[in-house]
Amino acid sequence: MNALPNELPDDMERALRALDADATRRAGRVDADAVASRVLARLRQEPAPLPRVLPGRWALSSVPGWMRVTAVAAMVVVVAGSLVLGVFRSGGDRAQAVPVVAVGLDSLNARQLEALLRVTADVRPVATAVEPASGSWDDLSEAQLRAVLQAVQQVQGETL
Amino acid sequence: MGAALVAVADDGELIARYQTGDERAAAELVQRHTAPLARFLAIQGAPDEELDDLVQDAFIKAFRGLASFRGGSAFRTWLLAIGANLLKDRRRQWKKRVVVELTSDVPDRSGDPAAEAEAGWTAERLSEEIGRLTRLQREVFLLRAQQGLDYGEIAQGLGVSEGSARVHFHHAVKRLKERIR
Repeated sequence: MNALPNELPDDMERALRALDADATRRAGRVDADAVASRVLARLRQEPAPLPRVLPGRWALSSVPGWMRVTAVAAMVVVVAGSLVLGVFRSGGDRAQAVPVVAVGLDSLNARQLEALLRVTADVRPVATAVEPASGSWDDLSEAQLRAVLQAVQQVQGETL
Repeated sequence: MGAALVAVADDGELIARYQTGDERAAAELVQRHTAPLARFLAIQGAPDEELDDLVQDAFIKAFRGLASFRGGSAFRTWLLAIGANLLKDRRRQWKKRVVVELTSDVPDRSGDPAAEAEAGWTAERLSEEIGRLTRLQREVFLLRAQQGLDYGEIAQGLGVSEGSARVHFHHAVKRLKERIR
């Protein structure tokens, strides 16, 4: 044991020396050469583990950017739709809720609209709760939205 | 006269040689650090029958993790910290296996104040109380008092500041004094 003068009281130092003597005696039974052989054998046999990558990070990094944007847009629509439904159910003013959805829809491109169609299939109760009136994207039925999408795709196909 | 001068490679050189595939360098590192590592684990109460495996596993972990060893601390300090972590994990497993483990070397004096007072500063009492310190207090205390490392090395090995290492040592000594007086 390494002496550390003045850092430990004498009685503690003595007890620590006794404890360390016991630890040294027990440690002496460990054969360093044998440990070295076994460690080297294990290093040869056991392949090094692959670097740990969190599944979530892997999934996110492998998703194309446009899909991430689409997913976010779809979430905005779903959340906004839920808010609209909540407003209608609570008898609130419809005009307050519609613009929230309209902002999300107006910024979508063809692919995003496609994703939206898939989402609307799941949240149909929300769509049916909104009465067609104002002429915004929100007022279109699923079939109408699909027709718009086809038109957009047609235009895009012609321009490419 | 005529004695051959043998150049002793330092740990950094051995690590570099091992990383280029020189197994003898790894063997040299193991031979060099087995005794201090085993001593460090033994004083923390690692059972005799587990000591060999613990030492081996600590070296395997160290060699596998060399990419993360930045050389800021000494290899030995880093290895001892790995060993202490391993011991902590194994203790959890052993706790699940064995509910009460008392050997004849460490008499149970709990609930007997007279015996406790009489015992004073014995190696057994000290061992028990070291075991009751917080992990950082215990490791700093032993790295300093048993292994004789300076605070800078301890701080780098355990990933704490030097000031924090000093405070942990101070608290460890204070707590041991309070509990054993």
